[in-house]
Amino acid sequence: MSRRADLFWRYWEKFGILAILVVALVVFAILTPSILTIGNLLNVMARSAIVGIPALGMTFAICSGGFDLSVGSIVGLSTCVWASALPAVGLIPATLLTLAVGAVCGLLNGLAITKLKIVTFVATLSMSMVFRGVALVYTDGAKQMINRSEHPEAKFFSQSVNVFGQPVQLTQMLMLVAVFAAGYLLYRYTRFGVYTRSVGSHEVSARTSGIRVDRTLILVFVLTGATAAMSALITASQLMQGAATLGVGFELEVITATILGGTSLAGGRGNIWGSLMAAVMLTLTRNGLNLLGLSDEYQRLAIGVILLLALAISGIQELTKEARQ
Amino acid sequence: MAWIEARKICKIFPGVRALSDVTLSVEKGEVHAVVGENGAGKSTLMKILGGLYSMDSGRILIDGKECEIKSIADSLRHGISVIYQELNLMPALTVAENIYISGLPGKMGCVNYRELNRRTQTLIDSLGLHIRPTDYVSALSVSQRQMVEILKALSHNSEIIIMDEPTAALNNQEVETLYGIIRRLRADGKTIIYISHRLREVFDLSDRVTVLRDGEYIGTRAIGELDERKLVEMMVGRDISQLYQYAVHPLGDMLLEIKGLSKEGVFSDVSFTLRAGEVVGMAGLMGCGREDIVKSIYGLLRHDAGSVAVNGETVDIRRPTDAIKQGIGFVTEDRKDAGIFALMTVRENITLNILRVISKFRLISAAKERELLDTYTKRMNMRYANEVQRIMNLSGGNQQKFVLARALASGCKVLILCEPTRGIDVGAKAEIYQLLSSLSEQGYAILVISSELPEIMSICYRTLVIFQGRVTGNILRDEMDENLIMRCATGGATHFSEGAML
Amino acid sequence: MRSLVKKVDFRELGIFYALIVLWLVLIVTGAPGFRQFSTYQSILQKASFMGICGVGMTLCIASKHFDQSIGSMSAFLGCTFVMLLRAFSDRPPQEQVGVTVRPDGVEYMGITWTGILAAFLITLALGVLCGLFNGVLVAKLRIPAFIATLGTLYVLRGSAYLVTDSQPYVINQQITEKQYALFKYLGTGVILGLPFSFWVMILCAVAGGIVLRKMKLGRDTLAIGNSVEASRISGVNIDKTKILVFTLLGGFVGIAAILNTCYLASENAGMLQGFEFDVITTVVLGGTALAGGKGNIFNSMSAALFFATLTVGMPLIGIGTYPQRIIQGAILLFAFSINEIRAQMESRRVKAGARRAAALKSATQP
Repeated sequence: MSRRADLFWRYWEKFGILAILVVALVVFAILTPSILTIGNLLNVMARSAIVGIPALGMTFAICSGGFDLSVGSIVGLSTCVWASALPAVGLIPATLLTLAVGAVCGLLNGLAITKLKIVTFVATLSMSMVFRGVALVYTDGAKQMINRSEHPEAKFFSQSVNVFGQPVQLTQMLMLVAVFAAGYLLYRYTRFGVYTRSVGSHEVSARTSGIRVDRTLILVFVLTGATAAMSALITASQLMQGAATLGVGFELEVITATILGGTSLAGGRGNIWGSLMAAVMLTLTRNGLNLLGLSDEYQRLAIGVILLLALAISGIQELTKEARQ
Repeated sequence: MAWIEARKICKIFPGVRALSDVTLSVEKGEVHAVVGENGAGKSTLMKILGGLYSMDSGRILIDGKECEIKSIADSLRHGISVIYQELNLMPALTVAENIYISGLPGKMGCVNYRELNRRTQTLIDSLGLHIRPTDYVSALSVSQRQMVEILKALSHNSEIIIMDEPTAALNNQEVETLYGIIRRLRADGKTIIYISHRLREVFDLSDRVTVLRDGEYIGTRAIGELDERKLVEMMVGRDISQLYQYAVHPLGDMLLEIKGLSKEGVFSDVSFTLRAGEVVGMAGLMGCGREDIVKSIYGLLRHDAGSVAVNGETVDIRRPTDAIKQGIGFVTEDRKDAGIFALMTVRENITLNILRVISKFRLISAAKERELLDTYTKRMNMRYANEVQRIMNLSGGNQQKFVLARALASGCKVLILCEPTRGIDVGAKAEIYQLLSSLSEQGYAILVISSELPEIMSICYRTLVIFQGRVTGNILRDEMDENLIMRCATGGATHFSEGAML
Repeated sequence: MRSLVKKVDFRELGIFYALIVLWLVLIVTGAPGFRQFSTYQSILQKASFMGICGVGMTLCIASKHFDQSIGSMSAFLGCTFVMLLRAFSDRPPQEQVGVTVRPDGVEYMGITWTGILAAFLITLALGVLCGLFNGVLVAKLRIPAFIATLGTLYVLRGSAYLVTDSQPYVINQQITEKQYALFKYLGTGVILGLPFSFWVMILCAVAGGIVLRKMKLGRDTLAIGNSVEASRISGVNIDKTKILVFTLLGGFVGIAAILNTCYLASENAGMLQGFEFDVITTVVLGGTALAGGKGNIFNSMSAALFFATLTVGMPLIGIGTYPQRIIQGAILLFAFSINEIRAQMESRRVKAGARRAAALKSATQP
């Protein structure tokens, strides 16, 4: 029994998310056949970048034993910065500025965690209020609209290109692929990756082994903040606006993607490809529910349920491990 | 001319002076043992040299030059590497990653895994170990982890290697391997500071010995000037036997009987008995399964087979509540994290096992709590300011008395104690020994797990020895000796005293 | 009195003193509105919702857990309450025949007293169930509380939209004059000059205090907050305690949700976003550290008043809604780091003391 359970969980860790993705695809194919058109699927893939890119950052954060609940607020703030800066300074400087703002938010998170020694999820929770507040004060609660005809370049991050007769949001897709490829290399083959895993695995040991734990954690949160800002670029470019209220509750999706992807909440073990696949799966779910005519609130409800299920599964996995001991 | 010299080191922790004006002077190329009882300050001193703790005052000189050690990196740069007593490995990383974590090969922030694994393999081969560089540490046994820890220290190629009780988890063969390593390092001209409380190892290996006691420097001697008795005298100062006299108490009824207790991969076929009036020791190496055996008796762990009988009746203990009901008390070795309820008051700390008993209409009776507190204060001589003082502000010895009192308050007759005197000073130690003795006189049956053989030998009527989850010795007081126990504990012998009930 | 001095550690009442000082400063400096009794009434009103939930949250945080879902939970429960009142009415409004008009011109239709009682009880029961659900996730499936309750946060918010079909509802369409008076009293009534809900808060606080200080459940809660391992050795039923703590919190949220609905006389699914922050902030400001193991209901209540004073006071002295968010975040950060700051100061003090003692010792021993 226990051997078989062991084997099951081993395969589950590797292919579970793939199985879920296939099941979701089949379910939606039955409910709304229109989801299966090539155009829609390509669209889903590209749109996965919005959740997927910050999910990569979150994978590092959770792998380091931490948690980032401020992703949604960073997205809100970043869209405001980008949308207000773009008309003034142009696409590239505005983009760089936005990424820098995301990174600085991450830096502040990291400092609160390492210097004030606040537990990560609480620190990022408090900081998320600060970021959201700053965005509200900065915009005075008003939406920052970008004029489409004056600034066509603002569409850069959500541009559609015709590939074999299908419109594909190429920039997003390339960003997604590039970020995940880079993320995988970072995770698997660099010192930073090893340090992140070691801090998540056993912080005290990591410290005793001479790893600069604080620096590693700060970098992890800077990375998470920067990926959140990247996601904000796509969102703002799609909507042609920035608003302080964008990204409320967005962290739910990002965290769900990461946990569904198989990154262990205990820290030390991340699953980069799992996060990517889970991001696609979540985007597909949203797309399917959209096609079924369900509004945003209900889509969130569904994602909340998915998160709880993902948590329950990993909880049960832990329990079976424990039962054997 | 001393190679590494620590002068007048002081270190203060909240509530404790861990080190006061401690001096250590080690010459190049020697094996220098640092000995002392638990709580003497050995580990604290090593953590200061390793850059893990900062000292509050004092100086460290290496090769005559004053150096500042503020971080682990500083310490490594000055050529010091430390094998700590607590294993400092990251279970989610591979063996190779763990060993070279502070100096991963590769350029530009990348890790060259081929080179990393090659180097690690060379290192592993040089000691003839059977682990692979790509194994995850989470899959290794305790002794394998200890060897990885040793490899990690060797990988820095440091001039000075500090080993803090490296043999605590090793079996005989592995200890021999370690001895070989140490002798080879000495031949290479490296300096080794070796901490142990196994005197045999100290006499086997070291050139000189420094003795610490209660955070103070007692002296440094060449090993040739000493014999075991003299060394113990330096370590203990006041001879503990002057503070505590073993007394024989008549044995009574059989209170606890364990038969064939087994748990796959942890311990197997463990049988023994405890009788009223007897203090029984349990010795064994780290990771031998002692703690797991008693935890499964107390219902903290599940066992696969075997039976537990209390007062002659077989009982089914599934969780600690059952054990408490059956009159078994348990005191953990991890007082700080699993013994006391640090932020709760002394009064609340004493009654947690029996809240239901002292409640009326579901409300806890403060009067009864106070009564219990007063009773045990008188009986065990605890010292505290008032009943609402948080227990974390008491000394280790007083905290331990409260943990004991909590177990006793629930009316137990069988007491299981893990490392009852870890981290408490000599005076309190003697008091606790005295207490255990008087408890056994009152008809309690007491099982003491201890890593300190002198402790077992001074307070136990009989000792059980565990090796790899099996009972390999049951030795009566008059036959006990350190060598015999160690041989049984490392699988070198079995010894069952005649006339002793197992 | 002497026994009180012995039992209460007056050094631990920091937030209470802070509250008194804050009020004194506001009165003395003549901050706008702070010399009117009505301002204090609205402070108490505001504090009571936070305070009632704060009682449950104090227990929860004392056990080293954390519940993020209570904002959504109170929205969901409020919506359910209103929908139940509708459901228990004789007929839905649009089908009414012969509408009766109250003197103040508001239409009403019949709902029985039993219906109202049922709505109360079912809402409270649902609150308890929500808490139970959280508790089971945390205790039985071993999901860390902050993430489990993040999941329920969204599920409950979605459920609130589900039960109301995203429509806002007001209470007074459905009830008779007397019943309307009842709801009005629950929401905005005053006893001895203090709002009704404030008295409810005091009742809840006393009940919570008894649980925390006088009952096995409270001791067990503190015990697992201190050390799960030590609690296990002491025979504490850890899962049961955790579940009960979350369940109790759910019950308190139910009470607060009903009072809040009556106060506003309306409900919509989007309300009370971020209410959990307010409650957590007050509990932590009250000295109940997130590290668990201790908790003080009186301090939590003082902190609720303190926090309510700030939220009521900031607009009065001209701080806008948006900067308030930043300030609240900063307060939260401060509250969370104060324990660390305090611990560092403590260890510095101890060390300085020990160093002085050492100096003295070496001075006396030549």
